[in-house]
Amino acid sequence: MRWYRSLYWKIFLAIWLSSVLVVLATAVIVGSMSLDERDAEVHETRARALAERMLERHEEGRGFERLQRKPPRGIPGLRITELGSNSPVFDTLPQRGPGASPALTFELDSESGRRYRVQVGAWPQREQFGRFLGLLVSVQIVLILLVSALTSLLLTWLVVRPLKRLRLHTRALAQGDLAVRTDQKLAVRGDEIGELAREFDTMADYVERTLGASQRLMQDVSHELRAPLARLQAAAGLLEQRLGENDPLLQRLNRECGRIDRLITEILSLSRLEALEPVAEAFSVYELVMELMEDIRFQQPDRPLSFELPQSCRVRGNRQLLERALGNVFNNALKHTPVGTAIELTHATVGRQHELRIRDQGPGVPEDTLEQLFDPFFRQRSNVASDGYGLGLSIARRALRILGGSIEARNHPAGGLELLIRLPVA
Amino acid sequence: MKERLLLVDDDVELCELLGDYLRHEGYEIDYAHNAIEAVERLEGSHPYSLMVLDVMMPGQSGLELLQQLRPRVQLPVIMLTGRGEEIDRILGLEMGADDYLGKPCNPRELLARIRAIRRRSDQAGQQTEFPQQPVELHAIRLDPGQREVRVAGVPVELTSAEFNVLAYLLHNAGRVMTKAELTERVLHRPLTAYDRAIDVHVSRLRQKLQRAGDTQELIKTLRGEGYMLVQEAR
Repeated sequence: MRWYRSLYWKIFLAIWLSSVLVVLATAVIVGSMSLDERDAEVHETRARALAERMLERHEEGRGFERLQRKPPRGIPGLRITELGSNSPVFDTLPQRGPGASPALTFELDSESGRRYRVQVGAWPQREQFGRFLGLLVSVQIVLILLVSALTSLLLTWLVVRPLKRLRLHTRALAQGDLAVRTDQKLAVRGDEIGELAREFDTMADYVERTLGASQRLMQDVSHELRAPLARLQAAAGLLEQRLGENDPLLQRLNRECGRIDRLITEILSLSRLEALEPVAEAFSVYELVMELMEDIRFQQPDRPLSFELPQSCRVRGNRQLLERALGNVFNNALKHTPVGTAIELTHATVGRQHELRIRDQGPGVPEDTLEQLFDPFFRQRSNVASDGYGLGLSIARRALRILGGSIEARNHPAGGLELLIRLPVA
Repeated sequence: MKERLLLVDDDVELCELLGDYLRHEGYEIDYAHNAIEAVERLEGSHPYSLMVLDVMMPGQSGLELLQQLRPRVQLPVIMLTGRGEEIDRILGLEMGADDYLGKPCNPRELLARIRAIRRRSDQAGQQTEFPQQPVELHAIRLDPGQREVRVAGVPVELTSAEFNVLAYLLHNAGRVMTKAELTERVLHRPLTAYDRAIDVHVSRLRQKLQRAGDTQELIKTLRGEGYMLVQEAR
């Protein structure tokens, strides 16, 4: 998850943005009203002071040519008229245009007792944008930032933390820990998160019940099949004593018994995978592969085997799962390739993952059926005579998923089927 | 005199079929269909030379029965375990079963295991395999005559399979014994694929020796080769 996608930052941004907008709106509406009043006062005071100074100058007989030419900055047009004679003293108000009408008019008594009327043009409007910018960098905004950060932290603590805990439970469920339920602290909450937690528990109950029931059914059926199969085999044994070992029909009978037996074993082991206890400790993949190689050498002494695997290769979880998965992958290769051809295992670490590649030198598999190898009881169309792939590879895939890994198949460019197993580094 | 075997399995029909098969091979067969019957049979007048025991039985399971019998009753036992139930196999061997067989099984295979164990216990009686005199190495003293093992003078309780493994390793100290060799010499049957019986026996033996005071891990595992009892202590 990118950092900016996290709920914390979303909450932070939302709070920050809304506070800033509220403050700006308030500042613009309220602030502009009060500023207008203040501005008017300031303007009048400044205009009075200027007019007084000018009248002093006027009565002393000094002229204002310089002022007439270049009006002082910040002061709009100004017209001063002596009231008695009604003669103009000073005039910079334009005759026409937007500044022609005075915005402010007041009367002034000079020290000599004469009375004057002062008319001041409109003050230029201070720019709104500048005021806005000023607000943005003001102390208020920094305060808003701080308060939003704190509020977001609080909200995150209230919302995100329980959500994260709930996510951990969900992940445990997805990884096959069907007994997982939310902790008491989550489930007793009165808010929506509490509701979600309780819904999660209900769902987990349902999943556990459903999966448990189908698993039990599979197990029960397989168990029940075993008893008649055992009797069948015993009966075949008795028949063998009478007819001799070499009777072709008896051999056929024994072979089919063996097939049913293997099938039952596979179904049971598939349903039992989920029931295996989760283990938190890491185990050595190297030692496991050594053991499996020994078994293969025992089964097929003429099979060339090679493997490249660092002794440090370790994986966390139940060792039996990987033993089942790798054992099935190897057995699959043994079953579907000629005895003299090599099987090789290579290892690479990519990021935080082990990559194990098991490659055989057989004919490979048609591209469009590669993914189907992992379907239960998948059978190659061209290869009707064989036993089919049975459950071996689907068991392998399920076992690896429980370990947090994956398996996929591809045809090696130089020939042969290659199975790629990815597992998280312990 | 014919050897008498006890078949313990709750499946009555299977017992009869296997019984017929084994009778044909020259054994006397008795049945018991639950743990209580089995105990009654064992305490009865007929001495049995071997018991075939099913793990999955209603009431007291085969494992519980075995636990109750050992070490008082030293009769050789073959456990019948459900296929793929590795844990039952290991438990069975730990409780003192001599061997296990997945069920359903080919009766021929069962017969082969029975014969192997019978051969083994005959030899244990006659001691043809090893010299009779006690062997001592490091702190371990093994007395084949008394079938007794002591570590630093403390007696250690071993099952007959564990005793045989130790005896064999002691007599070949310093040499690597392959799993196949050990299985053939100790369990008197060929090694099969995914066969962990010897490994379980060795690991149990190692634990018992360590508990009795063997701090040096005298039995070494050589991956891909087998097991060895070190000649020279470090």
